[in-house]
Parts: sequence; structure tokens; C-alpha cells
Amino acid sequence: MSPSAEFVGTLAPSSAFGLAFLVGVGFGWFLERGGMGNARKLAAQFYGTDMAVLKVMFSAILTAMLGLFWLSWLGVADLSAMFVPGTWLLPQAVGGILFGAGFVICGLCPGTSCVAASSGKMDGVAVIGGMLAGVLLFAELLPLIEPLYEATPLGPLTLPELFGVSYGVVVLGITVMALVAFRVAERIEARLR
Amino acid sequence: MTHERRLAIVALILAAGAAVVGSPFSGGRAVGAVELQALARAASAGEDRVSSFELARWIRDGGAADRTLRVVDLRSREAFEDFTLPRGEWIPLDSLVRTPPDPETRLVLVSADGALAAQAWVLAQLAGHRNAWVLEGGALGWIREVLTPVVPAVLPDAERELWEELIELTRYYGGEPRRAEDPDEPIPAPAAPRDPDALVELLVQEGRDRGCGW
Repeated sequence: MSPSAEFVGTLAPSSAFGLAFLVGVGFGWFLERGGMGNARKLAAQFYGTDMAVLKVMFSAILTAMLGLFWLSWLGVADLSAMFVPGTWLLPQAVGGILFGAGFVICGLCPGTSCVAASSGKMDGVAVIGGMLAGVLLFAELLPLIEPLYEATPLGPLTLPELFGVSYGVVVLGITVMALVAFRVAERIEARLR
Repeated sequence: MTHERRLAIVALILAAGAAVVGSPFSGGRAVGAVELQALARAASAGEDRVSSFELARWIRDGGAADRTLRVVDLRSREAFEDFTLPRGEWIPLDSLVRTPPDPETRLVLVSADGALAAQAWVLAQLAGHRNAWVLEGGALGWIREVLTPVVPAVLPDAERELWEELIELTRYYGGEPRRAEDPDEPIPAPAAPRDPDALVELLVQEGRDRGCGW
């Protein structure tokens, strides 16, 4: 049962998808307004001269995390209905490294490439093409890399389970970490600009 | 005070409150809303279980490389080592709950007679794992119905195909069917095995009818 369906009552699955589409459009709009469709701005994150990506994304994480925690506590949303994807430590680490390398090279990630493409930037279109080619290549190579793909399965793993603390303590920890990161990011920006 | 500073203070207050409250589930619920009626309906209609005959066919048809089906044996280690079902994996219940399998995988839960597996089925549904079934009769049922089934002395024409398939499966798994001594003894035919994808579709449709985003 999707939390959105719970929230609005008897929302049919097709309507829930329509709502998801609107949420997606809103998400893209906020990314574009925040400058996340600009490859130079995104790449600058890795050089420390513009930490906008960290600030925008961490702000979004804080908003969603605090919002969902309290909405769930109030009974408006059902946090436990949310699907938590499994953790496969080694392949996800390898994938993360590949993703990071691609991000620095292109200056865009999959989401922001769609933002860039929709605002008329051809580099966004090129990254989308590369992403789809990568998806196809992965599908073709899967039989070869399957041992890596399925290595180190840990199942759905959450931070509260990993550290043996309550959800609320993890929420506080991440909030403090984010606020410290914002302050450090501004100091790095000031030094490297 | 800047706008950013105000937002940071609000975030800290909300986060501190979260740390005090502890759990995001009101009333201390550890699991989400469960469609109890749907679970009860599935259990009453037999959609929560598979027969040994069905499992035997699924395993044979899927082949050794089939990674979409897992036979989870919940019995003790000693019982598992004493007798292991084909494709059986020994996973105690607490391990299964701690590290749940991929929700896309079909799970057949096996215990000695099916009781513990039925409890595991409920836990699997609570954890959101819809593709789980109880092996009816458990490991004992497998031995009785697949490895040493009693078949009629003379196969009735109406059910010949089912009986012949059962006999073929029995021999495939290294068992030996036993012919009934009394030719007039009525022996119920095994139920026709259901297609596993159709079973999943039944549960998925159930979910759609309830407005679940499966």
C-alpha cells in the first residue's frame, strides 16, 4: 500500500501514478531552479568551489526525513509501508565508484541530466543517451558479471538496525551531520573560490 | 538572525524531538498496517500454501539454474541434515527475519509438518514479501506425497494424466510409488498443480483490488 494512497484515502493505483508524475514534475522544477541542471555547477562540487549540490541534496534529505518521521508518528503516513531496497555491499560500492566517475566526467547525474535536457541543454541529452546505452550494456553483460552482482547480500538494512539505536536517534544524528556539513561546505567554498 | 539559521534551529528542534520520541510509529507499532482480512482470505482460500506435488513440479520445471525459487527449510539443523528437500536451504526463522530474501524471489517455507512455516508465512506477509507459500504438510508431507505416494492399483481414466505425472515425479526425485493393495480403495487424486505465475498474479490482483501499489 503506497503511503500516498493511505494519505488521500481510496486513491486508485492509476491516480497514485498521476500524483507521482506531478511530484516528479515538481521535483524537476525545484532542481532546475536550484541550478542543478548546469553541468559546471554540478562538477564544481567535486572541486570544492561550489557546494550547491551538497546543500540542495542534504536539505532535501533533511526535509524528507523529518517530514516523514513526524507524518508517520502522527499516523498520516505509514513509514513501514515504504519498500526498502536490499543492500549488496560489494556490487553497490563498485557501482557507486562508477557512478561517481561518470558524474565528474559528465557533470550530470541521471536525474539532473533529465533536468538539463528538458531545459534545452544538449549535454543533458547526451548524458541521457549515454545512460541508456549503459543500461543496455549492463543488461547484455549481466550473465558475465552475475557473481559480482549477487555478491555480499545483506538484505534491506537501515541505519537504526545497523547501529542498534532508535529511528529518532538516527534522525538527530543525520540532522547534526547535515548542519555541520553545511558549515564546513561554506568554509571550503570561501577558501577555494 | 538569518533565514538559514532559523531553519537550522527548527530542524534541530524537530530532530531532538524525534530522538526523544524514538519510534516514528505511533503507539510503538513495529510493523506497518496489515490487511488482516486479506491475509485471512488468502489463508482460507488456500492461496497461502502449495502442495508437495506443486512444489515437485515447480522445482523440476525450473531446473537447477532457477534462482527465482527458494525452498526455505525452517526445521532444526539436525532434521535438515537428516533429510533435505530438493533445493532446500536451511534458514532458521530468526535469520530469515533478520535478513529477508529479495521480495521478487518465490519462497516456499518448509517445516516438519507446516505449523512453523505457517507462522513464517504471516511474518513474510508483514514484511511485505508477497511471493511466499507454506509447503502443505511440511517435510513429512513431501516424503508421504512425493517420495512414497499411494497410487490406485488401477489408474482411473479421468485422472490418469495426474497420476502418471505424480508417478513420474516420484521417480524423478528417487522415490517409489506404492500401489494400493485394495483395488476398490478410493484414493483421492492429487490436485492439479497451479502455475506459480498465476498464483502470484492472484495475490497481486488481490493487492490491486485493495488499492495496493504492487
